[in-house]
Amino acid sequence: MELAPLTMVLAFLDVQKWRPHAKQRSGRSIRLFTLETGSCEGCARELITLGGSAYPLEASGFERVQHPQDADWLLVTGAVTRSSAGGLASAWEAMPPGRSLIAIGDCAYNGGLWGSNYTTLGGIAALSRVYSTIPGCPPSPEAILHALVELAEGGSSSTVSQESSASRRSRQ
Amino acid sequence: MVEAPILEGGERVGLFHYRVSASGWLHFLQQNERRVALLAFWADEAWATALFLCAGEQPLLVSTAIEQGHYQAVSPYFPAAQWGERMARDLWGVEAWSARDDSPALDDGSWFLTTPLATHPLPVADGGGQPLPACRMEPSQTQVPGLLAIDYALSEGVMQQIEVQIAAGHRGVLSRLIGLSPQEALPLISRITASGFVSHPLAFVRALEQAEGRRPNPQERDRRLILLEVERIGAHLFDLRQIAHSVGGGLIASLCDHAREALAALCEEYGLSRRLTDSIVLERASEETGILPFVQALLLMVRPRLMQIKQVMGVLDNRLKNSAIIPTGLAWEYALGGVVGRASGRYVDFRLMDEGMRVQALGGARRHEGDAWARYRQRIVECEESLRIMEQIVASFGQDSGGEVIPRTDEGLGVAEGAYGDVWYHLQLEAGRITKIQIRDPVLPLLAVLGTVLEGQPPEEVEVMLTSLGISPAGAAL
Repeated sequence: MELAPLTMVLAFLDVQKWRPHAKQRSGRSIRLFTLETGSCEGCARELITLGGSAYPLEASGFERVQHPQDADWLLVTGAVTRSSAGGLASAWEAMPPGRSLIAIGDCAYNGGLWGSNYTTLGGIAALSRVYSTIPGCPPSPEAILHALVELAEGGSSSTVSQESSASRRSRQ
Repeated sequence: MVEAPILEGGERVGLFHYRVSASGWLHFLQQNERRVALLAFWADEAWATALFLCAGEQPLLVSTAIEQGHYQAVSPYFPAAQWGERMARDLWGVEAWSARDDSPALDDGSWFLTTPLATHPLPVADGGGQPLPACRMEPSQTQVPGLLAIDYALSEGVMQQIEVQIAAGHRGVLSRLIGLSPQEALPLISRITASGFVSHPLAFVRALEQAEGRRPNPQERDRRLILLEVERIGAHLFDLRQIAHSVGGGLIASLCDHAREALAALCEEYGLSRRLTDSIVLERASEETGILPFVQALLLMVRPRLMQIKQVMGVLDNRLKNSAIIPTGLAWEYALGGVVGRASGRYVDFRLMDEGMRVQALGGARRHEGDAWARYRQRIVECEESLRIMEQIVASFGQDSGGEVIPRTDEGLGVAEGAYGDVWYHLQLEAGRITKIQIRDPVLPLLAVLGTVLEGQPPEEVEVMLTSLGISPAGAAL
């Protein structure tokens, strides 16, 4: 199918026009590896959307990587099923020193509405005391990006869970 | 293709529900193999139940008692029953005689109980898991947002002996729902799958209303119909984005990204959640008209963006043609719904059965090629169709359609035509609590044909194939 060059140019111009402004932060680029561990896929979809052109993830100093051994931060979505726990542990072990674990969404934090049962462990809270959280069901890409920038700056995100006194629990 | 079923000697136990003896069950399966389409198969410790689609798109539930943990398998006659039989075996421990496949579907050895939904589940000392296959494509290696793994053997650069794995995504949904009141269950059902934040709770609420002999008021009915179309547009934009991204169509992916986020922002601006989570409620007493300005704003925002996507989408044609073909016969045999079915020549759309649906707005272009290109085009056409539907609903919002009042039976069967096809809920109530519930997500029959579609393809083609099919395993893994 032949496309009019003007059509393409206008589409490019629109995408440029809509391009969001980067969240300014200092420091080096942080490499992110995302891992789904059993959820409705809502948070995983928001992370995919965050990696698209509607949000300035890369311009804000983050880079998505395909392998955990290349990652600084591990972003986990889902309530952590028993079946996926091995993969989560392997990904964590494969990461280089200085790594951080971040639970994206309520399920990844404490299992959300699913809690723990014969097949789910109930989120990162049941597995580790060393993690950060970005709550929501699902959190919006904007909220995730905002919280990631805050965590990168070393502060506590304003979007973290109020129920948890240490939503940003700590970083390893 | 769908004819009147032969059902002899069954006892009617619900509006669409019959119970038959073991011999009647076998006779029914043998006699109706080519007459009706199987939509879903479920079993628990007491009953095996099959949901069929008969002439006039009428549903039919047929059940038979489980005898000493066994029943005659449905899959030799209706292959689409395979996943349901495997799941019932994992969850309740009931065995299907002569099943086409009796390998585990959900229990991969990681649970601390076997048959966890049975009256007497067995504890497991140490889960060992299944042996690793020759090759495995892990969920993190695909563009699918959920937990879908693909096991295969690689021979001369192409995949063979394919097995689709969704066990890692099983969250024990049914075990959580049983015993809850509908009010307690709704927030969980609203989070079963992100591909159905509206369609799943809507199918549930419709089943519930049938069980309780209630009908929604016309305003609430129309509000739900609108939300279903908004969800459809958002889901299609997500899939179009994923498809474009998988074949290097960055510009189209960007246009879809921006359109979907503008839609989410609009939902939020008008008091809904961004992805419509929790937008379906059990009862809404007051007349709802706040959604009308939302729809007006949506029409103004989405229409030009869709037009722009349409104008540039042709650049992907060559990359998508002849990819992941699902022939018409396969689509009918497995009752594949939604975009996948309609792009393969199975023109079934349960919105035609919805009370109050403006059917004149339905019936956009339908395709038969069955490839990724056809599904891509079908999604665009269906977005335009959704806009027409909403436009017509707004023009006559809340008009009474005069449906009949049904008696309370405490058993309900509800369907909603979601973005990925028909979602079904079958439930039974006792003293206001859910005693039985079964769910049919449209990805389930798709999983049954996925191996056939991927067979003989190189692994590097999997991404575009999966994204074009819109695979979202959460609704099936439950």
